[in-house]
This record gives sequence, C-alpha cells and structure tokens, in this order.
Amino acid sequence: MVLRLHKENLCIKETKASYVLLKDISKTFGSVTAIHELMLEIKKGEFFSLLGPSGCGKTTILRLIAGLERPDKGSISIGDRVVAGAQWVQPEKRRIGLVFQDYALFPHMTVFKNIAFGLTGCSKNELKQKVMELLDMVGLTEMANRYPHELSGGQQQRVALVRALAPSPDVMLLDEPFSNLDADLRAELRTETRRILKEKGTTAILVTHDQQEAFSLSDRIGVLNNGRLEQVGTPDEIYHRPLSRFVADFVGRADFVSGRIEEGSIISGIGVFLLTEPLDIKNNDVDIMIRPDDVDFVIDTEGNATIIEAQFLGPQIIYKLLLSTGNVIHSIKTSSRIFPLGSKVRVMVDPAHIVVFGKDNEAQAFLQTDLVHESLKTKRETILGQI
Amino acid sequence: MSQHDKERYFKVKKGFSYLTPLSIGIAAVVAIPIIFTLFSAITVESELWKRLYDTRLKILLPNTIKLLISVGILTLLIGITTAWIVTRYDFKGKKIWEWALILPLAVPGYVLAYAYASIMAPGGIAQGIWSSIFGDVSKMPSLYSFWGVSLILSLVNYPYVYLLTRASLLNQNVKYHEVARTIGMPKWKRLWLIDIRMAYPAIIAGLALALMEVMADFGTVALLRYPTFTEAIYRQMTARFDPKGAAALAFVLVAITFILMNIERYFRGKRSFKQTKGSFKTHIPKKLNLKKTLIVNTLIFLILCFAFFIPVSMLVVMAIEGILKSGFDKRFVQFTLNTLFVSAVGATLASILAVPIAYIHARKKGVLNKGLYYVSSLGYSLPGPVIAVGILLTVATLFNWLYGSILLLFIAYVIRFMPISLQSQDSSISLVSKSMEDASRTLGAGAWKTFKSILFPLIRRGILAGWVVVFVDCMKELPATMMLRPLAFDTLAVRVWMDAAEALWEAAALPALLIVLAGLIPLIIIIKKMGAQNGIKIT
Repeated sequence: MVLRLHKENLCIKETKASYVLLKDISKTFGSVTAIHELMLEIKKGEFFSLLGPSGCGKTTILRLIAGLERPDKGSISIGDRVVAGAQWVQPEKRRIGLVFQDYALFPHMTVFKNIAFGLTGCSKNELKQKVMELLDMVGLTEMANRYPHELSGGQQQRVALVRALAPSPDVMLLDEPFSNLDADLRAELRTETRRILKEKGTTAILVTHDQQEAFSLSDRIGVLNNGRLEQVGTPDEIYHRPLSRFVADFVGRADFVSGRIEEGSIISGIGVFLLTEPLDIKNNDVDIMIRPDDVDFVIDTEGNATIIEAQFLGPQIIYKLLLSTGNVIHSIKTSSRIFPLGSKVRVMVDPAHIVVFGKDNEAQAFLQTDLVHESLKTKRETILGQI
Repeated sequence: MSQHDKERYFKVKKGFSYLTPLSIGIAAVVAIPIIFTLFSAITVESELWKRLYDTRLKILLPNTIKLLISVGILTLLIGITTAWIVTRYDFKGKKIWEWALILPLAVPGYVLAYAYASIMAPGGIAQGIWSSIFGDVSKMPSLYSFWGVSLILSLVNYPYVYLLTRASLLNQNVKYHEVARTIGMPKWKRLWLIDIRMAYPAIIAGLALALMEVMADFGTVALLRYPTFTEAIYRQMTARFDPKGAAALAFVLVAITFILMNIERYFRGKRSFKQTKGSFKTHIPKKLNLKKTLIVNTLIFLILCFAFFIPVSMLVVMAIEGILKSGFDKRFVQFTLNTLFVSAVGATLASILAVPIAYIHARKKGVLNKGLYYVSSLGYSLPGPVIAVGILLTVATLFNWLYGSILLLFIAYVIRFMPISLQSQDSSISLVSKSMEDASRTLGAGAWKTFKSILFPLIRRGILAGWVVVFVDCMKELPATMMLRPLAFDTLAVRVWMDAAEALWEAAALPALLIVLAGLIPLIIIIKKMGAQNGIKIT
C-alpha cells in the first residue's frame, strides 16, 4: 500500500520539535491585508488553537497551511517538508486533514463513500474494515449507508471528523467545526474530538472565535488580531497573563483600573500594590487589569465602592461596582446570596492575576509576580486623597 | 531529483491553473468576430455612411423604433395583466393558465408569422370568415404591415414580461398593502403605487428582454416584409455582397441592443426592491365569483388562442393535409437529422466551452476572471445576422480556407448561445459550497478528480438544463444558419422560412410543428422553476 509506505517515510523524521512552521507569512486579498508577517510554530502532537474575532485572518492561516491559498510572502513547512515558499506542494499532497465549518460532506455520496473518498490504494476489504472502524470510533456504524442530509448536525460533524482522519493525516485542521451545534452537543463533541485526536497523536490546529472552546481543548493558544499574532501561550497564560489589552479584553471580561506609580508602589482605587522591582516604564500613570473572578467584596457602609448593577446568571451573579475613584469593575459571586443595588461595599482583590499596562505602550504588560498587595487601610485612605 | 519532485517542480513552474489561459482562448473566439465587425464599421468612409443613411438608415431607424414602442406597449399590457390576474386572484382554471401562459415561448416568431400568413392568405380561412361577415375582402387588414408585425412579435414575446412580473408580484409582502389600507388608500392607488411600483424593476427587465428579442428577430420581419436592421444586414451581405455596409448596419443595431441590454442588466441587479425581513407574508389571492371567473378565463383563453392554439392547430391541419395531398416528403428526414446534428454539436460545444469560464467566474476573484465571463456573454445580445457577419468577416481576413465549412455554423451557435450555458452553470457552481472542492483536495484528490467526482456530479443538472435550452435555441435559430450553412445544407428552420417565403404553406407545416414541439421542452424547466416560486414541487 502506497499510503502506508508514505506514512512510514514521514514517521522516521518525527523527532523534530516544531511540526508546522510558518515563517514571515503575509497574505493580502486585493487591498486587504489578511495576514501580516506571521511567525508560528506548532509542535508535534500538540492541540493548538488560533483564537480571534471574525475577520482576524485565522481561517486564512488554516487555508494557507492546507494549501488552499498561496502566501504572498514567507514559507510554510510541515514536518521536514517545505510546502509553500521555496517550493509549492498541492493540497492533496500535503497529508493534512481539514474539517470545515459547514462540514462539506459530499451530498451525492453516502456516509461510507464520503469516508472512503480519501482512502486510496486499499483493497475493497481493507477499505470496508477501515471505514467501519472509523465509524465505530464515533458510534455511527449504522449510518454508513445514509446520505449526509439524513444525518443530524452532530452526526454530520462526526462524519466530517472521521472523513478527515481516514487517510491518517499528519496534521488535522479544524475550522470552527463546532459553531453550528447547540451548546450541549458542542461540549460533548469537543471532548470527543480532543480524545480521538490525542489517541492518534495527530497534531491539531483549531480555528475558533470562542475562548471557552480554545481553553477547554488546547495545549496552546495563539490569539490573533488584524492578521497579527498578539500572543501565544497556554490557556492559563493567555487568560491570566495577557500581553496586550486586546488579549485581555478578548479572552473573558477584563476591567482596567487607573493607577499611579509612586515610591515603588502602585496606588489605585482597588488598593496599593508594592512593587518588588522597579518597572521599566516612562510614564507613572498605569492601568491595572483585573478579572471579575479575582474581585470580591463585603458590605461595608464606609467601603470604597457601590453596587450599581447586578446581572443574574443562575449559579453566579456579576456585580458592577463603581469605585469611589470613578473606575468601574466587575465581580463574580455565587448567587447563594444576593446583594441589593446601591449597597456600599469594600472591594478586595486577589493580587495573583493582576496585570499592569503602561498608558503609553499598550502592548507592554507587567506580570503579577512582581507585585505584592498592600491593604493597609490607613495608608490607602491617605493615598486615595492624593489621586 | 525524483520523479515526484520533478512533477512538483513542473507544477510550480507551470502555475496553479490552466483555466485562465483556456478561458481567454474561448473568450477570444467570441470576441474576435465582434472586434472584426466593429473594426470594419469604424473604418467605413463617411461617404458610405451617408449613402447608408439615405438608402437604409432613414427607413430602418424609424421602423425599428416604431416597432419597439408598439411591441413594448403590447407586451406590457398583456404581460402585466395576465401576471396580475394569476397572482392576485384565485379562480377555477388558474393552475393551468398559470403555466400555459408561457406556451408562446415555444413558438418562434417566424413560425407564428408563417402560420398567420397561411391563415390570412388569399382564399384562406380568414378571408372566408371576413367575407361572410363584412363582405368586401379587399378591406381586410393585411398581416404584411406594421401592425401585423407588432401583433405577431407581441404575442411571441409577452411571456418575458409575464414571467418576471409574476415572480415579482408573488414575492411581494402583503404588509405594504395592509399599511396602505390602514391609511385609507383607495384600491386603484394601492395597485398603482404599491404592486406595480414595487414590481417595476422586474417589469422593466422583462420588457428589455422582450425588446432585445424584437431587435434580434429576423424571420418575422423578413417574412412579413417589414424592413428592420436584421433583414437589411442579411440582404446587404447575401444579396449585395457588401460586407462593409453590413458591418456598418450591424454596428448601429448592436449599439441599440446594448442600450437595451444595459437597461436589463441595471434592473436585474435590483430586480426587486429590498423588502423588510422578518415576518414575511405573501398575498392571499382573492377568490373570484362565477361571473368574474368566466371573464378572466375567456380573456386568457383568447390570448392563448391567438398566440398558440389557433396557429399550432393550423400547423397540425396543414401538416396532415400536406401528407395526404402529396405524401410524406422524404427530404424531411434529412432536414430533421441535419437539425438534430447541428443543434446537438452546438449545444455540446457551448456546454463544454462554458465550463472553465463559468468556473473561474463563480470561484475566483479578479477583474480578468469577471471580464472573461462578461465578454463570453456578449453573444446573447447580438442578433444572429450580426454574429454571422462577424464570422464571415473574420474568415474572409484570416481563415479563407474555412469558408463554407459547417464549423462556422458551430462557432455562431457557440457565440450566440454559450451565454445560456454560462448562466446556468455559473448559478449551479455558485450553489455548491467551495468547501466541497477544498475538502476533496485535502482528502488527497487532485484538481481533475475533484472536478470529476465532486463538482461535476453536483452541477450535472445545471449543465444538462443549459444543454437542453441551447439545443432547442439552435434548432430555432434562423438567420445565422441561413448565412453560414454549407451549400444545400437545410435545417428545419431554414425549410420553414424558405417554403413560407414562397407560400408553400403545407410544405413548411411539418418542420414548423417539429420546431414548436422541441420548443416545448425547455418550458418544462421554466415551469419547474415557477412551481418552486409557488412553493410547489413539480418533479
């Protein structure tokens, strides 16, 4: 079988750490720059997500890797093979699998034929065995002779996944494959997809605009904005240590509280933070980023904030708090107890995930390890007076 | 370098796709005869222009404009009235009339003209009826007149207005009517200000299509001896052997046609005004009482009698009479075979050549790709004699050895009718998600296998539908066939025209009948589409 030989050929060199490598990739459509000098490295066996708002170029990156678009500049390699740049490899020769947002199942072929489409060079029996094995993996053996339009959305998605898996691709590309499913099914299929891909050890690249999806599936995430990578890191890093305001804002709710550096501390409406090291920053005015899950409060008639809005989410409530300094922050609390609007409260912040942004340089962030929370009431009051 | 690498290297060097150069080649076949005609017309000396004006244009221009106005008014009258009746009212017989009203599309103008010429011929049925009622036959209005031509062309072409207006009226949201009622607008005002005004773009587009057909018509005007451009070009080319004069006349004709075409194009872009989204409610047709049902049925029946039933029955009668009188004409088999052969080759060529252009138009961006589609679509707005002149001029200058070859006829058919294939294929391809092809490529299939096993099966119906329409249009095509056919190569259309022109009424009947029968085939496709607009599936 040609197919297996080919696979073994590639397997010899699988020690390389970076499996998919994009170097200086640029792509424009007409006058619109979709991707700008992008560098991206994805490791073998990794589940990597490209996260970003619609129109940020994430799908273009996927299509560039698949060979469905040609980069204007730069090179792409998969494994040790350059597929775009110095030479061009047609998509059908790249050994990649692609699951489309609309699944792209062939409407004139049965489920069986859809999956068998990518399996060439097998005998009839082998083919049947392989397809049934794949269908079994997603629990759809009985649907083999159905046509795509006779399947539910979730079933179609499963077929699309195993169809892409059938030729044992080296890299699996997933283009928002869960976006057309309802919430329950989406969660179920995410777990299933990750399990199957991890079992096979297939390198996977997922494109999504849904941060939850990226967080729950990925080993690493790349956040994209306007055709540029803003940050690459683990889900934890992306969430808690955003390198730019865009990332901070895009992955979950973030509040920015203005502060000021004075004598080795940052003074703000949510407290005074001692800096263990001086910050390399020109302007002393900074913004402190804080997420609602790190903000807590207690009722205190002499507190530093007022509840101005409460959004009930079932198990939790998001409170909108107006600080006495004029900034607004949010706090998530369980809904077991509900605080009335207008209550005066005292805000307490967990300093573990605070990020400081310079005013003049948005992209620069300073991580929380450098900071120690100082919550001496007397000192805060004196400083608040100065702000 | 391994074989594999070599192949890959080769592909990089050769570029991603052969489709664009291929399409440029096909578009060139369409463009070259047009360019030749234009060039010849531009180089015509002012003296010839003057002579042409004095001897030809002075008559042709007012004739053509008069015809456009009268046919325009008549098609609007018939088309809008019938469309209005079948969309806004519910009555017994509506289901049949709704699609029967497009039957005249199956009858080419020259067949209708010929049928009426035979009916109104001296000693014919019409004269018999006239003399028994009015007596003096010499006072009977003649078919060979401005009004005769106008009526024939209106009866043949009103379905364009009917079809587009009907679709637009069906899609109108009843809400606007409800709003108008609540502010106390009277009924006639609602009809005029809402229904007709909102169907405006569709009505204009339908009118433009009908008028383009009038401009392109050759058989009717030539048979009824009403001089217009097509007939003049034909005469200039075949009787006077004056290619320059023919090119100059063609140039003027094309200029007028282009104005009409661009009106249609402009209004097609916005065939209906943007209607509010969300709750969409169509009109519920009003039920008619017995008296009104009778009136409406009679009206539509009369229109169809004159446009279809009477002439077609006449053809049947004459065909039978002809066979009874002089036996079955054996040459008829040869004419039929000739016709089927040239039409099949024409339709197949048009369908195949349209594929790359339709594909790059539907799938790729860029001015070049869109431009190729536009250029290749030009032929549809060019009347047959113009295309024939263009081809003859090209052949005379570049490929003299091709003169008299049947290939010229095929090229004419491709130029004239490939736009139909293009349109049908373009819309079929657009309906197939690009991700189907992408999926196939990432699953290891090459470009050819992707086309063969994914795209082609999915657009097969569109290609076939286009093929059928082109096939029938080739069968009906008269002027280009007359001018380009090889010596003594007769088709059904040519026979109808030649026999009718010599008043051999019975000889022309059987070929004409066969053309009408063939013309009914593409109507099935239109009726299916009409059913889809109604939400009814006809399979």
